Amino acid sequence: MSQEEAKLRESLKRLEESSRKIIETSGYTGEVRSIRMLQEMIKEQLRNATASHSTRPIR
Amino acid sequence: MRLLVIQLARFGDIFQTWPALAALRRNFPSAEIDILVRERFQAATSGLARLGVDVKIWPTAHLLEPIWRDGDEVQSLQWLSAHIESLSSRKYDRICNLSFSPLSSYLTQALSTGEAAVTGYTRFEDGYLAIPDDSSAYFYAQVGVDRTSRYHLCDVFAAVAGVELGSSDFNWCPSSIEKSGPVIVHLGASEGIKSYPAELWREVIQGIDEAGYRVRLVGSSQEKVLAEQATHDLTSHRIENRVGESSLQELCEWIQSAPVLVGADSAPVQIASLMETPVVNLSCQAVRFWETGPRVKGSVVLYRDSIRDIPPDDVVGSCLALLSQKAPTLPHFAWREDRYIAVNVQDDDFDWRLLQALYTQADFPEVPTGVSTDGIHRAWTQVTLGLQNLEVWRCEGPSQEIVANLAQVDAGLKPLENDRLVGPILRWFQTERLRIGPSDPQIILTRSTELFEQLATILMVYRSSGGVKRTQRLIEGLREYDLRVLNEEFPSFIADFESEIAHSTNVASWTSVLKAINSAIQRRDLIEVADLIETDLRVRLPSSAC
Repeated sequence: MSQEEAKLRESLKRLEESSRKIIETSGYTGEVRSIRMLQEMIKEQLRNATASHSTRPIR
Repeated sequence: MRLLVIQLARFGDIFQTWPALAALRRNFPSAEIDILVRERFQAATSGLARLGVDVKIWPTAHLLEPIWRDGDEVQSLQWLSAHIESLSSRKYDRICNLSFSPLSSYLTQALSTGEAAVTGYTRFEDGYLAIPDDSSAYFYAQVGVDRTSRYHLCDVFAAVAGVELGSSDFNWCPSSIEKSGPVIVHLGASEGIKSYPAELWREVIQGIDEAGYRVRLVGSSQEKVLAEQATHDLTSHRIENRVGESSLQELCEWIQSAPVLVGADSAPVQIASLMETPVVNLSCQAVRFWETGPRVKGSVVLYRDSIRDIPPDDVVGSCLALLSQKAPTLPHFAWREDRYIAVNVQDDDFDWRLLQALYTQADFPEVPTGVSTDGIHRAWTQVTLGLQNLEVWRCEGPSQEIVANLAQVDAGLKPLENDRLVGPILRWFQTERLRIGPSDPQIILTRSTELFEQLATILMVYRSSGGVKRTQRLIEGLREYDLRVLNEEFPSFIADFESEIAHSTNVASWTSVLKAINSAIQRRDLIEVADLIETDLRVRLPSSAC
């Protein structure tokens, strides 16, 4: 794993934890939405990252 | 009016968005139309200037830079918020998200401030996926490499954008351009499994060259090795290897002056559709040519399960036929006006007709021989349970038990989602349930009940009328002593009935009839078999099963 990829994975973990905590206390907010967008952008960079449930690979 | 089209996919998808943008411009001549694309694929928007479409950039690399560099997601979030704010300041009246990705759905929600009309994936207020329009719901449920949709992506994009395409929307080639350039051969494809091997390309290139036509090889710099292998020891002056040498702009110019393009699933095929350049498209199981194939009249799709099985002679023959403006006679699919037609190919279109029945009110197709209806019966059992629980909910109010029971129904339906017959029906059903979204429990109950009832109605089509026709055909065939019916149709008929036993409490009364049928078959008394089916077996079974 490259250094960049490691940083992406670590950030992804932290972002997942942050969004989980905010949802527990305040529900789905604009902040959670931004965090999730960043999560998805990171997942797009990481092969083998679990794809979000809302789409399937199509091409 | 201000309109935003979000297209965060790759080159090919952006090119396939051009016709929808042209149609939007026709429909809204004075609107400000923006398209949002990833920075990396911005080059695919160069031709859009003539529509007056303003290109906005989604700068992935820039937004992720703080994380790559320092692991600083806080800075990335700040830059992301600033970028969204800048886009939001445009205050769009209408947003069409053509990306079908989780990222784009969150982005669409973030930009949907005020009264913006939204189509395409977005999010409900609780963060769950929201699919506001029917076309995107169709995409969610039925589009993909393992699916059976035959709507071309250009049409899907246009439908999500709420416009109808006309022939002028595909005409991006200046009328002064003559198709007098070399035949373009694009060697690469977006994935290895879609790529034609170098040794076969060599035969194709040689065949076109030997027929006296010029050939220009194109592709990205990653395809240079493939090009060198494919042209090894080919010394003809008519062969021009330009792989890795062209900009996207140059590639478009070459394609528009080419009489024919030969290639697998890739952006040049989609560019050719905009440049009125006919295509010989090499396709295989890993690709849905129905969705992304060429759409210039006369274009030819050569299809095999594996792309390696396409004979080079077929590719050359098709190319030469198009060059002499003749229709090839070998087996292929051809684009005619608004759809592909099968030419000398056995086209099993049951799955496609099933989708049309689900979405366009067309008649439900009869189940082909060999396709099991077992899934229908299994789904029926679950739907019955679902409706029973919804009725309890209606009478007694919601409870944990009902929620758990409905979850069990979903778990029971889940394995059937890949069933050839029931799968598309269940994907339609589950997508429509997903679209209900957060709401008053009474509204959720009403809509859920409607959907379960609609599902039951659809399942009944295959529990009843199809079976009636099939049983009647079987009986007639047996009476005419048709051994093909006995050997081919009868076994699957019996298999389906045996699956019915598994879901029926009324087994004892008719297993004896099955024994009598077997005995008659052993005596080769097909008339008696037909009589037993008609008079004994059918009356002992639930009417829905036959």
